[in-house]
Amino acid sequence: MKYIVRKLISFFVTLSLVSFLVFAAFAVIPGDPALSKLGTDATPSQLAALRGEMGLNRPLLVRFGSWAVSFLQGDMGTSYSYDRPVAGMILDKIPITLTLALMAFVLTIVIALPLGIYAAKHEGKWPDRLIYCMGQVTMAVPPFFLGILLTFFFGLVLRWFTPGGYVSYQSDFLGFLGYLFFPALAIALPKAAMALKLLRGSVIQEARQDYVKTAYSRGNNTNQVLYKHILKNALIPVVTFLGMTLTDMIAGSIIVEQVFSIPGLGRILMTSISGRDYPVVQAIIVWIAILVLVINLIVDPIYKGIDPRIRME
Amino acid sequence: MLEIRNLNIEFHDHLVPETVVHDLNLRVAEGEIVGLVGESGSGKTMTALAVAGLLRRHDMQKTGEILFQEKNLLECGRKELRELQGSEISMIFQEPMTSLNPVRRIGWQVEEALRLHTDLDQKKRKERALEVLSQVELPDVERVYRAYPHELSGGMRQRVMIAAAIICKPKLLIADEPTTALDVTIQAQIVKLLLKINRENQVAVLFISHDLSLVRQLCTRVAVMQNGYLVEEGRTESIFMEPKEAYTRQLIAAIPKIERVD
Repeated sequence: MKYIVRKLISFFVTLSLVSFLVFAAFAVIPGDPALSKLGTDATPSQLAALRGEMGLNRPLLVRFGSWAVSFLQGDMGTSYSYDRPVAGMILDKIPITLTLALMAFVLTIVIALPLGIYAAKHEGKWPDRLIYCMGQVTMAVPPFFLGILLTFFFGLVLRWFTPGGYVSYQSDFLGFLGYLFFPALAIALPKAAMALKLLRGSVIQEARQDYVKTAYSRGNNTNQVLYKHILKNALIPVVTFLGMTLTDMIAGSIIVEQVFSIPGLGRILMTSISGRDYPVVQAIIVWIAILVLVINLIVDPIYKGIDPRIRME
Repeated sequence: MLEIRNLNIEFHDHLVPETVVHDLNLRVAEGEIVGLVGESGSGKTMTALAVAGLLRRHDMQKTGEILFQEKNLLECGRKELRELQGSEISMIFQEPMTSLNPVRRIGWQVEEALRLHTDLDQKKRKERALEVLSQVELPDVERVYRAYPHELSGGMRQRVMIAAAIICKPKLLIADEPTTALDVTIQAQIVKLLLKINRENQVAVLFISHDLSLVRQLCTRVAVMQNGYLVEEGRTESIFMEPKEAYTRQLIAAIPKIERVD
């Protein structure tokens, strides 16, 4: 109980800090929302009037305070560029980015676990070396470039999907998932390569521990020793890595959305940053922070489940 | 019950093959406790691992015979060997701190040999596990059953290892330096416990140690190894009272004695 209360407090403190930092950053970086709205032809008096109307003349803390109160009430402000409520613009984009990130995460696990175990079982032999080489190459390629390669090969050469033919989740959920497969793969592959390398090393290291000799002495065969004894121990560093990766994947999704023309948070974030549409940017970043913090809240009990030596305090 | 005949163990992991056990002959009768002593590198652990079927590296060669109940273990297939491991031949190791799986509950680990070698259901397995945990004199066995290894002390973990080793009532228990990592008072307790288990379960014990004072307390017969050779073998008292070999005399002389200063 104490643990949950403490976690919730740290959740809200972190969230407040992140939102304030983003707020402060926009006050410091050059660029004027009023100017980007009215264009360079606007007169100084027009600009000053609009700034007043947008509330930009008020002190930073006051602006932050009123923004935070509205945010908690579900009002994320109005977009400077589109004059529409921000909530309406981004809430239906969150499921897209979240699905993409989660799909990438699942693919990472599905690729890394079997290959990592297989490589460890065949340590030093040719399948291990082949997996190692492929992993090194994949790790070195950034997701957006991998996205371009996948689009070219599977989209344009093999025609397994139509580049740019995004299917909305409201109209066809399976089609939506199908379209997200290759973008998710682009995000997942470099992370999967890292996770499998980590798992392979971890399995090989655990196989040399004393408890493995004990397990053999009781009459376990190699697979029983691997799956009932070694694997759970070997997964501990991998789960830590995957926990960090999951948050990384949300950031990764934002970039890959550009390559595959997916109308998620990433696209709208990019256009809002260049248009100095601060309410939109602010809301998106706070939402990403919420997703990341919620993920961390979920990951902690998983660590505890896998390693009993970790105490939930 | 166990008869080792002309056992040779040779490693081929270097340019020149290295023989770590030469022509070893040793017998362990039913219910007997035999001590295998010698300094580090004398080949005693290699012999123990060979008997337990745990020396399966490709870069080594074993010749001779290890007859367990008239079956030559060196000629057994892996499956046949696994059927004996944990059920007929059990082993406990030097490091109780690392010999248990850190992420599995004690109960799960103690019951493992039952899961592998019997058809008992979960309830029966737990009953038997609690029974052996009591037999090794652990307090509050229900709590120990649910605990993880890191929640127990070194002495308790070694008791757990013994409980797990005897759960299927094996004929032979190989104890490879089971007290070396423990402090002196706990060592004495573990030795007493092994004696008790030997009597109650009629299990033969091959006790590997470099500590001759423990061997004297526990074993009925002693075999002394040096550089891979068996140099002397006989009843414990005669070895201690009238050692024939110079090396055995050196080992006995090396036992620390408490003497009065005046």
